[in-house]
Amino acid sequence: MKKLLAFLLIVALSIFGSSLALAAPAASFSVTQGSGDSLNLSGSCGVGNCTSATFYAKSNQFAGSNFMQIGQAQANSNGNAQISYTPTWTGNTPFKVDFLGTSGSLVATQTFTFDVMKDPSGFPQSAIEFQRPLDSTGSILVKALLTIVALVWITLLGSFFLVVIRVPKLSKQASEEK
Amino acid sequence: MDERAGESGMKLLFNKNQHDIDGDSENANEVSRRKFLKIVGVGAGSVAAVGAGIELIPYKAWADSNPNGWGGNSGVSGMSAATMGSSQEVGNHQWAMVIDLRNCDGCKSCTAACQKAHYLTEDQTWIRVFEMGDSQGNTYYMPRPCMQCENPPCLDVCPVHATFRTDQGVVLVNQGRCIGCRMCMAACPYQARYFNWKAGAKYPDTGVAPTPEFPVPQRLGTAGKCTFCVGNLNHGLMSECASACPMGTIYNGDMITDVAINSLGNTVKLSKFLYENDAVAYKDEYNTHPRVWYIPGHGQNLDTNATTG
Amino acid sequence: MTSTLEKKEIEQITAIAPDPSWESEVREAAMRSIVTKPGKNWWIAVSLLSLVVVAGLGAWIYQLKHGMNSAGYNDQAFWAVYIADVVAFIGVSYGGAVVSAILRLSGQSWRAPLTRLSEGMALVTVLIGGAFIFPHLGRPERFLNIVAYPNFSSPLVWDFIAIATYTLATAIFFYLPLIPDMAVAKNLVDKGGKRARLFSILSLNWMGTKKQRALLHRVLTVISLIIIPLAVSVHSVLSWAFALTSRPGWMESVFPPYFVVAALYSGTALVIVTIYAFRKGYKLERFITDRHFVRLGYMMAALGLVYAYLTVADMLTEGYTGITTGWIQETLTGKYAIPFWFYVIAGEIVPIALVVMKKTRNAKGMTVAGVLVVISLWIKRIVIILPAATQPLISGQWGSYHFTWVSITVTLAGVAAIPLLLMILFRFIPLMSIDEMEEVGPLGSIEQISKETLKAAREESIPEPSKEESK
Repeated sequence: MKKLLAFLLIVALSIFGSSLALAAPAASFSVTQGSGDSLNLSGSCGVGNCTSATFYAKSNQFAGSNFMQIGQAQANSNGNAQISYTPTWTGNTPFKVDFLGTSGSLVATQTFTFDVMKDPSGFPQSAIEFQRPLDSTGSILVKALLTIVALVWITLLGSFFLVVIRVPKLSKQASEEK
Repeated sequence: MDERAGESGMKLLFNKNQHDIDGDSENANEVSRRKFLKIVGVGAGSVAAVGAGIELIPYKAWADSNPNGWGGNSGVSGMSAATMGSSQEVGNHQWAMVIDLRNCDGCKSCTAACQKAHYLTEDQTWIRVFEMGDSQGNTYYMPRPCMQCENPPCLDVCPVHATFRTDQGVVLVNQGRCIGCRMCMAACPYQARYFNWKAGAKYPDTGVAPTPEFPVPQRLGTAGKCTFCVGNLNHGLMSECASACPMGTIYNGDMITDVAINSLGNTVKLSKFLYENDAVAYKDEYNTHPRVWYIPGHGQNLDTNATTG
Repeated sequence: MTSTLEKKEIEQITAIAPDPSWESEVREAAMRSIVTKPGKNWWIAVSLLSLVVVAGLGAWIYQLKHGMNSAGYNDQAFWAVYIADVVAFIGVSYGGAVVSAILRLSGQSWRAPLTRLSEGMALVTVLIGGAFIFPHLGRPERFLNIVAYPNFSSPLVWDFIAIATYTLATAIFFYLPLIPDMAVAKNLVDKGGKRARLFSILSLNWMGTKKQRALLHRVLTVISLIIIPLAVSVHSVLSWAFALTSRPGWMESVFPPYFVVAALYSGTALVIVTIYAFRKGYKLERFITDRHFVRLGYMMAALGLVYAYLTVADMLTEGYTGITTGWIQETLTGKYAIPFWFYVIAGEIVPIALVVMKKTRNAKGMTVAGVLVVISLWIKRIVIILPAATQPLISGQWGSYHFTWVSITVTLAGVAAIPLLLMILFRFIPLMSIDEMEEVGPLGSIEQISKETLKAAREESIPEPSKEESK
């Protein structure tokens, strides 16, 4: 609900901003969940004379309480710029976009807070884990040893169940013979 | 350890002052010719106190036997990044570190910065500055982060795959999986592993869930270690220890782009820098292939750095 | 193999102990713990031991809450008392299994009164030893991650597999010889009672026919054959948790046999202590004689000498070249000198002297030796673990481990759990293997008699049970 409100607010702001573009350039900015853990950051400076946009994220992780630069993009003729970004943390994170105008001066800044969702338990994917020694020649040894262990288990459990099953049967036989 | 010596050539036992090795060019050539170098940089007296000597493998030896170098293609040790494991994808960076011991004055700023950034206890010295002695009775300082081995012993012995190696060559710990058996602490020849022994440490609410890249807050009963601040590196920032070093001792490097930088803004070509300064890998006879390189010495560049920095 | 002197003794014993009353005597003695109500002393002992165990559990909960620092651990003493407990407890378990399995395989008839107690001791100690992995772990609740995400290159995964297999084997090895006894026992307790029903289920309706005996004998031979290499592999794998690291003092090829022999040595010692305690508690002097203690004492002394030899071999090899002598200096003359020399005196010299001296070569002397060996071998494990763990690998100070009330209480709880569980266990099962005792007869339960003699005697004296029932 909050997000929807924020979104509506941004839509409203951007409409408002673009209508007042010439008078007072105001940027708009939104962050949406992309594919996987990535985020789509798209900003608009509201005017056509922006050249480049620099995106920032605020995180205690890397830069103290400062915004750190996470990417740059060229603004198109409508003043829109966007990047895709995959954060390595989760939590409520302020993002920021700065637009530069043709003159080189700052024309617009917009911050936006987005709740970064990421499953931390799913972080180390198997693709980046070494599966040693199972992916090398040692795998034969491992398999051989595991086979021996399996055989030992089969023998142990087999003898156990052999006794458990055979002994009552033999008793039954013996009493029937009488 | 001797297997490697047998392969690579003769073993040299130096019992000389450290200066002979870096300063004296004749000696340096000798070192590179022999392909293998084992420096027992500590005298007999300090062996007893110190327990273990320094065992160093020169970068030059590898570079000479691998004329193509690793400029983005192969690993430092001749182990190609692409062949490091069939399931191993090669990332866009291969992070490395150079520690220029000539500059280190043992101020421990790196340790403090690391502990502050990761909210560590005083005992948890993920980068620890060791005071080392040489045969002349002099001391020099050796910061020791996690070596980010290409063949990490801690990874082999972890029973639950809580330790893993990323496609950027960084060895990380998944504290969400670690069972706290401390086998990694036993296996690490660099004493670079630390454990969260005590409950009740206060962490500020960062609003950030711990990840292997940034394991804050630390979880009780799990192992932790230097992460190379890989989150920083991937965002174009330097590691906490490197940026905190007032002497520019610690360089963050990338083996793919072959660049290393330090806190003084010195940017060097990594392979050339290592080659020309007789960089060595520490305790590589354990077949660990560290991604941290040391440039031996103490005090040679202190004056020039003191004026600039 | 019996000498002339021994033959004389055999005749004497045969003369003293005539046959007919043997069966009833054995049954009465073995069932003593089940039939009689526990006395006051038993209850006092059990409640005191339970108290210690509960205190240990409490200490462990405290440790879970406050972190392993409360047990004295730190980054340079990352492995200490709990891993020593694991090694020591699983080690003594081996003694029980081996006394039973090796003696069974080699056809030593005098093992008969000892097998049940030693197998019970093996089962109890392997369970306690395995349980000590939990206080050792920083995150015991994630223990099953070993099953969920096993890394087969890790010695700890090997440990897990080996200990699990060994525990299963010990449990089966304990249960199978119990079946004939259960058949006997169900007729000796109140009919229709709870225990009679339990025994009846456990006896599998055993009647002791020839076919049943042949089956059980064959299965037990197979399991005896498996359990010996299994126990060897368990202790080898336990040692590899240390030996496969690059630490001076641990990275040694002598470690697997070193651990196996330590396990056998301490295990035989604990068998001696266990059978002494039960002999005293249930007045089994008629069956467990001084000769049994002396034989086990000889075994123990021989293993002690092998262990001393391996200790010397280990230290000399490491120490001679002088590269990694730090831990040896610490062990011989430094911080760990007192526990090390305690081991040398109380764990080697005194026990072997007690075996060698004729005056002390009896049940009491052997038991004193056994207690000394069990204690000093635990200390030896600490001396193996701590110097190598606390040594500085790069530079700087030696680390140190401090015993705290937490680690001491938890360890004592493990020690108390052995007699506690044994005392409770043997309230439900016969103290001796009635079946084996009846098979070997009064002579065979004390002296070694050959299989042929045994066979002949059996055919003569033991009637077919099926015939007996038909009468």
